[in-house]
Amino acid sequence: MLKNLNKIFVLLFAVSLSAAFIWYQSGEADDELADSVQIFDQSDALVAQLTKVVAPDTIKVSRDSLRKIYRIMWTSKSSMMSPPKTVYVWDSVIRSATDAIMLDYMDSLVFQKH
Amino acid sequence: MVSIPDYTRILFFSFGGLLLFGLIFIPMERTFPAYPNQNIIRPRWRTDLLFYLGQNLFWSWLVLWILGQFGTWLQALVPISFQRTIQEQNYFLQVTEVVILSDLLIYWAHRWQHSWSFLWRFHKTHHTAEHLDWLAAYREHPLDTVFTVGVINLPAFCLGFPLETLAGFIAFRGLWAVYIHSNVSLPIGPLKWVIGSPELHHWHHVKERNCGNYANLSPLMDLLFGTHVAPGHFPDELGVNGEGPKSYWYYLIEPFLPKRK
Ligand SMILES: [Zn+2]
Ligand SMILES: [Zn+2]
Repeated sequence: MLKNLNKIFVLLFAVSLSAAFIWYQSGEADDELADSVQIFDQSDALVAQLTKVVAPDTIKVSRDSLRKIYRIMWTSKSSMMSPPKTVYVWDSVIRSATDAIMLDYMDSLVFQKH
Repeated sequence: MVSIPDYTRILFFSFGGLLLFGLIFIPMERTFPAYPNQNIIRPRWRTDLLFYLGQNLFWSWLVLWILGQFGTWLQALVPISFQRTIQEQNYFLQVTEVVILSDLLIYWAHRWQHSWSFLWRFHKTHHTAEHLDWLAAYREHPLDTVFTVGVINLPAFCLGFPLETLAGFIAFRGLWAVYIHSNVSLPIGPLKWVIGSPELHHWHHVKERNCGNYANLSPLMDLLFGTHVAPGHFPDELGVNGEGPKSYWYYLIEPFLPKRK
């Protein structure tokens, strides 16, 4: 009886810690996403440069693109367990976001034509 | 605009992860041991600890860099309109698609890791463990990790599944990979036909190279493609035929050494 109670306790303990870990990792993803959107907003130089090529509206829309790009970064790094914020990660988030905005913009042009 | 690499954070996550996984799996291994005679401190645990630390503190950079290059390139190949169609689907449909697609892909990719000798050179490292537990899950050549992580994330890269669908699933999958290596025997009754287990994965670690049980999450793919192995108990011997234990550093360079006669 006591032995069974012990087993149930160990199992419950492991399951709740695991659930907490999964919950934390998902939350972490959302937090970092918010961070990266903020960094994107703050980078005036990037926005100024982009407005030369695309309409200001597109930049607002591009938040979705950033989200999409960020997902790739997050997916690959969370598979590695430790989510490191690195020069490389931010740098490529910004760079990829720029690419994605251009792709989205081109996509919308094609869409308008039809 | 760009932040300096935050090493305190990396250290915190690496050692925090070790502590958390230890807290989850050590009591489990003591309460439900598959091999009751295997201690928590078992032969070669230091090698596996080095694999864990190496992966978290160092190799993850390389893996990230390579995946970053591929990810952007891959996503550009798939039309954004198609990615939008995926994202507009019902949440549960998306989750199901992610699970089935990544399981199907990882099943075949894992079979290639065993059958194709170039991939086996790198994947063999994972199989050199003669004692399995939660820590042994990390025994992986960094380039083998690049391959596995790349394949696992392929559906996400290409199809544009949103973050919300993936976040919890990825964390769960990481934990599951550690669980199936742990020295734990938990009978789950008829559920064993749909859910994977340490017992099934231990049979994947027997000394034969074409050992079966290539899937991780669910044995369905193995059942479907005829590679399911389940004798109903844990195997006696694990490892790679004719291979003695080597050092961490040797394992790192081994795939690049000329083939021995
Ligand atoms: Zn294998
Ligand atoms: Zn394994």
